[in-house]
Parts: sequence; structure tokens; C-alpha cells
Amino acid sequence: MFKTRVTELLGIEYPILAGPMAYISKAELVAAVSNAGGLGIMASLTFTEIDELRQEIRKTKSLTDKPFAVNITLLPTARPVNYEDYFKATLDEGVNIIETSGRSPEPYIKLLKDAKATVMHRATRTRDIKTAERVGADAVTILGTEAAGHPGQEEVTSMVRIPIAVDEVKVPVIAGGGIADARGFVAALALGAEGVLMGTRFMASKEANIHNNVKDWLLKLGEADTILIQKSIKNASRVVRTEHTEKILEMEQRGATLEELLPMISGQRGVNTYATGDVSSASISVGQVVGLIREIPSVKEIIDGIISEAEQIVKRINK
Amino acid sequence: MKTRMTELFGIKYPIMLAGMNWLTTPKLVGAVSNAGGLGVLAGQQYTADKLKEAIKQIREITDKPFGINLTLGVGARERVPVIIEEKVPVLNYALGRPPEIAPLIEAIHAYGGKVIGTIAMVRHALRSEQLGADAIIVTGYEAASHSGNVGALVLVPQVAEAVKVPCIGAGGYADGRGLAAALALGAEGISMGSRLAATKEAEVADAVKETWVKSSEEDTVIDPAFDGINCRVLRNKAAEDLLEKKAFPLFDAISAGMHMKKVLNLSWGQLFREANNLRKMQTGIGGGQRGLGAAMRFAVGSQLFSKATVGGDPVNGILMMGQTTGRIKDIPTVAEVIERTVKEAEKILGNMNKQFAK
Repeated sequence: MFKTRVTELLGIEYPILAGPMAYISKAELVAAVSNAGGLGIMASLTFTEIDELRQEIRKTKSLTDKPFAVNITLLPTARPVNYEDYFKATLDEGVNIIETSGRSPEPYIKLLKDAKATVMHRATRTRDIKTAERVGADAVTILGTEAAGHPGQEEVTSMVRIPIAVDEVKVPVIAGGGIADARGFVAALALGAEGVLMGTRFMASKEANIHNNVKDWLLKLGEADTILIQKSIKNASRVVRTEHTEKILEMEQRGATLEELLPMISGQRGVNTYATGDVSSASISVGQVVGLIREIPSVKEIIDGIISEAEQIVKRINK
Repeated sequence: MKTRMTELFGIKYPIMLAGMNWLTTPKLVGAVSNAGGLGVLAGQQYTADKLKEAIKQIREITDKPFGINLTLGVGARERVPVIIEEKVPVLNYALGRPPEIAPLIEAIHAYGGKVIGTIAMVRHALRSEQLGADAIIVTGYEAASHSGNVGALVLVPQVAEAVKVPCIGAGGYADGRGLAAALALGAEGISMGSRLAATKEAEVADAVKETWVKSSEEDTVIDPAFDGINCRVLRNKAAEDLLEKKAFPLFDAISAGMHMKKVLNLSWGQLFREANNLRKMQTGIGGGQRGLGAAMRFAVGSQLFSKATVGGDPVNGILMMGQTTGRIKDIPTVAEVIERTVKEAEKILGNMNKQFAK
């Protein structure tokens, strides 16, 4: 046990959350994280059909009786999305923890609160988590620029973002970006966070359903092997530095239009890489923590390891 | 609070002052050392004679250990003999190439001095250790001035496990939460720049101190436009102007060059080489132009840096500034900063210990 307001709010054993990763955060990984005492979060927009989402939630429930969450990302997408359908289906399937991100959850708060759901909102800017708190979020996640996925245009690091977030909101703060092990866990808590969100660490786990080539490739990458692309279209995205992603960056510097960029940045590329293991033309989201990842353990080994090592770290410093 | 950093330097608290050009003065350095930290003076801002005088002034204020920071380049050569002659307790070097670093470290060790290398990449940390540095400053992306692309939360543990000598975290630290976090990440202490410069003892215009208090963590920008390599500064009008300019009018460059020549006591050839060296030495940190372009940028940038600090004009000058600025809300004394930082860190770590015991 490691009690914080986050573990109490979510009814989990350890304040460790698995960041929702498109195509990766499905039933197996989500259930594994929750079974290990953390909180798995399903990436709902992976599913283009609401029925697929319902099936995946049911599958997760068959794999765990612990709490898990569903993320609904409110960002502009290439295909039109009826978010309300996603919220309704998720609630209808009995999931009572929802993580929102991308835009203020305000339009859906009433729907969520009426269903007595717990709402977590994730953002990269202080003002956005303050808004989320004001409209009714029960917890917020602040994401530093170290993170994979969309870590914000401002490039402010977790070391600075976390304590400011903690000072600016009253609800519990979860820290994401730059955390992959016990050292980062203790540091985030020292900075005032009451939980951590890890993506890349769980991507490099036995339970993540991606080709082994991709996992082996992650082990070889260093801390400086990521770059931020898509800043020119105001949708900064941290990805592995490859020939393909450097080409995207070059196109952006030349002033490429969104239409020119779209085929290059399509999420379908990631899906192909996950399935085939061909990383040569990949555009894969990873955080800077990839440099700290040296092995592919099970989810339970990751979580147990963090908690036991964190205790040793705290004891060592207190000596 | 004892760590390998406090033992190495013989100081009370694991906190040092970052050796910031134009911001560190004997008074501020002495105040930090007197408060139990390690005061560090930027040696680059003085000619050799003036540096000697400054060291004397520090010694009049404190009998505790202190350090001098030097960016290794053309101008460093004439300052090094002063540091050795004065047996300065700690030398903190940045940049530089192995053929000049190794003999320098040897000379400092010969009189019992300690050497800290400043790095922003794991590879450079390993090189510093191999050359004989006694400690490593790990500069995260959030830091003011020059840095790599990796945030402290990721870089500190990487470096701490790669080297055996103590690591000191720099960039992003403003209070006890940061100190506790740094210790958790494997560092043995922290270096604070903006936080210790936004104090009563700092001899910089109130307008500059107020800028730290007012600015948010989103008000900085990192770019090679200011002195030739990636450098984090306050995003003000002067910075925006330089960001837009791909080149300078020759007149600006020459007048800035003349000014910096005088301040740094360099010949035109030395100024040119200084700028070029800066670019070449820091491979791995994103850089801009070479040759004349680099020299012009360096000269114009350097003059604007001193305009902000020495000139006390944070609007028309360029102010190096870290993201930590968003955490600075007051102008206390140096001793207040150091004491509350240590107390808060101890409290946080003590509470966490209890949490695990539950």
C-alpha cells in the first residue's frame, strides 16, 4: 500500500497510472496494470466503432475486477467523432473513472457527474488544469515536455510544471512525462504530485501488444533520441528520431502545409509498425524516459519494483 | 544535511550558486558561502586583473569555500593562472576540449582544489569524469542559458548512474521540493541560478529581480539566435527581434564587437575565435552559424546580455532565464532561500519515510 489522495479517490493500491496509448492500451494491458494495483486507462479513440469499445470494456472486465479508466481525447481528429457516444457507452458499460484530455471536459461534465463518475483531466498547461478543476474534475494530470504523445507547445519540463500545478489547484495532481522508475516516482511525489502517469514504461512491458522488434528497438534508444514534430501545426508530438520523423521536421521548417504533412504523420503508420515490427519508416510516440528503459519486464514487476525501490531510495536519503 | 557534495567541498548544505555572467558578484558569492552553500563567481565577466581583485573581495566577505566558473575558450587562458595563484577552492568549468581540460584539472588538484564539470549530455559527463573532474553539474533543458534537449527528471538519473563522482542538478530548482526531487533522482545536491539571483544580496537592478518574480514558466525561449548555440532567455522584445533576424547590419555587429572586445579584453582575432569555439566545442547542443556569422551573433548577443544585467534593462537587453522563473515569487535574502530549501526538503523526505512505514 502507498496511500495518497489519488489512491483513495480511485480505489487503487498504488498511485501509478498507465497513460492511454492509442492501439496499445487495450484490455490486456489495462487489466494487467489494474491487477497489479495501479490504474489502467483504455485509449477509447483506438476504436472507430462504439461497439468495439463496448466489447473491449467487457473484455477488460473479464480480466480484472479492479478499477480501471477509459480515456476520451477531445482533440480534432482526421475523422469526425461523436464524443458523447463514447462517454455514454463507457458509462453504460459500468466504467466509473473517465480521463479526458485535449480540450476542457466542460461540455460533458454534467453527463459524467450525473452518472457519479470520477473525472480526471490531463493537460500540459497550468491554466488548463485550473479550468478543469473549476468545471468539476476530481483530479488533474500535468504533463511535462518529456512526455510521449502530445506534451504541449510550450516545452515546459515536469520539474517546473509539477510544483506549479500543485500550488495552483486543490484537487490531487498526477504527474506525467519523464517518469519511468522509482527515482522519478519519488521525485514526482517530492515535487508535490500524489500519483504518476507512465506511458513509455508500460509500452516496454511484456503485456503491451506490440511486435517484439519494436520493444527491442526501444531498449537501444538513448534519452536524446526523441524529437518534437508537428509544432508547426500546433499539435507538438514527441516521437523517436528516425529518418522518417526528421523528414517531417524538415518539411515543417520549409513551411509544409497540413495537407502535405497528413500522410506523413498518419497514426496508421504507428499501427503498421506495432503489427509488423518494421521500424524503418516509423513515427512512434515515446517519451525522453526511453533512455532509462533497459529491459522488458511484466507490468507487475514494473509496479512492484517501483514501490520497493522507492522505499529504499527514501530510506537511503533519510539516513 | 550531509551528502557527498557537502563532504567534497566542505560546505554545510548541498546547494551551490550557478556561476552566472554579469549576475554573480563577490557580494552574492560571499553571501551564499556564508549561508552554508557554495558561492560561485563567473570568471568570464572579468579581465585577469579584475578577477584577482574579485577573489580578494570574496575572501574579505567569507572564509568559507567558494568557486570560480570559467567557460573554456580563448579568454580563459589568461584567467586560469589567477585561479591557480589564488588557490581558489573550487573551479567549475563549462565547454572546453580535453587537451585543455586535463592539464587544468591537474593544476587545480595540485594545490588541493576541486573541479566541477558542467554538462548537458551523458557522453560529456563520462568525459568529464574520465578527465578527472570531482563532480558533475547536470544541466537540464529547463535551465537558463545553454542546455541540451533533455529534462532534469530524465537526465539526472541517467548521468548519476553513468558516473561515480557526485552529480549536482542544475535547471528547474527553486525550493525544497526540487532539492528533495534531485536527491531522489540520484543527485547529491543542486545548483540554483535564478532563485539565488532574485535575492536581496544580488547586485542587479530591481527591474531585473522583478522580471523573475513576474515571469511565468512559459515566458522563456531557447534558440541559437542569441549567442550561436541553444541558449534559454526571457522572451522579451529584444529576444523576439533577434529571433526574427537571420543576420545583423554590419554596423551593429562591429559596434557590439568593439564593446565586447573592451569588456573581455580581447583582440578582434580572439573575439572571432571565441565565438567560433563556442559553436564548435558544444557539439550535440543545437547550433547556428559558423565563421563571421557566429562571431557577429556572439558579439551582438553578449552585448545584449550585459545590457539586461549590468545595464539593468530586461526589456531591451537579453536576459538569460530558466523555466524556474515561474516558481520565483519573492526577493528574500540568500540565507532565507538556502535555509527554507533545506528545511522543506528534509520535511518532505521525512514525511515520505513515514508514508512507507504505514
